[in-house]
Amino acid sequence: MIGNDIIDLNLTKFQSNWSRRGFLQKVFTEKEQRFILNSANPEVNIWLFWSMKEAVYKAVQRKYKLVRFYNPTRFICHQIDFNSKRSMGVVNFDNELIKTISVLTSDKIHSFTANTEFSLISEGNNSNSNLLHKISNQLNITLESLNISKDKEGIPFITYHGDNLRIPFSLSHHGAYSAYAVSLNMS
Amino acid sequence: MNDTKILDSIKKIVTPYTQRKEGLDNFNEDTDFIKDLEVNSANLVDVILDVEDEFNIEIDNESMSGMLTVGNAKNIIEQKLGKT
Repeated sequence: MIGNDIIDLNLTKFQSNWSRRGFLQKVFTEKEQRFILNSANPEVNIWLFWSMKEAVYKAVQRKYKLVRFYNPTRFICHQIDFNSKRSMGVVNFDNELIKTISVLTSDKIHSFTANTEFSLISEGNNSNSNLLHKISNQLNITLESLNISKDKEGIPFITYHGDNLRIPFSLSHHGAYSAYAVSLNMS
Repeated sequence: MNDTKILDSIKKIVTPYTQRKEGLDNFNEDTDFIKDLEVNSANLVDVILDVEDEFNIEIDNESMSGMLTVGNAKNIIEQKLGKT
């Protein structure tokens, strides 16, 4: 199970008004709201928690083949450790705890499930081909044997020599960025 | 309020958040907010808040959970307005 989510902080400023009445209540539990509003930078923590929820949503949807749904408060975020650039968290989904890692810069936040073996953020076009290049280098296999495909549910994976090897990955787009999280353990 | 009026209202609400404008040309109950209109997932909250304001209803998290298509949103609005 793998999931990731990228947030373009330059775009959220235009796209979302988190201070509108009811917004935080629809997205966050009361405890999360307290954490956010008591923090030094509520805006960053809003998008940090949002990206953690989205990353874990993608991971559990994939793992359990869930029908799509929209219920952000079903994913409850806890921050475990934080320094200026990296946040370690846990997201509680139903009875499960899923660890996440988030990398923060001044203009973006990238969250992914902690089982991610490598991640990539790409700007502009050719992002799929950048991903295949990186995998090719990482696994030391020829680029020509790799392709990207999707299953019936629209969940993407990378194939090696046709369908013989399926490498699961998660893809997220927002604003200027495309982000990938890849797990090489094939599960 | 009849079906057409509700659908027109939903269309008006979702238009400013729609990133794929051609998805509005064929706007119907099967239209998927995220797949067909490319509404950003955080903006789906805004759509739901705007629907609450427009119809003066409250949408609980359980109802919100299924609000991914226009038809689903319409059903929830009707249900909350006391029309089943």
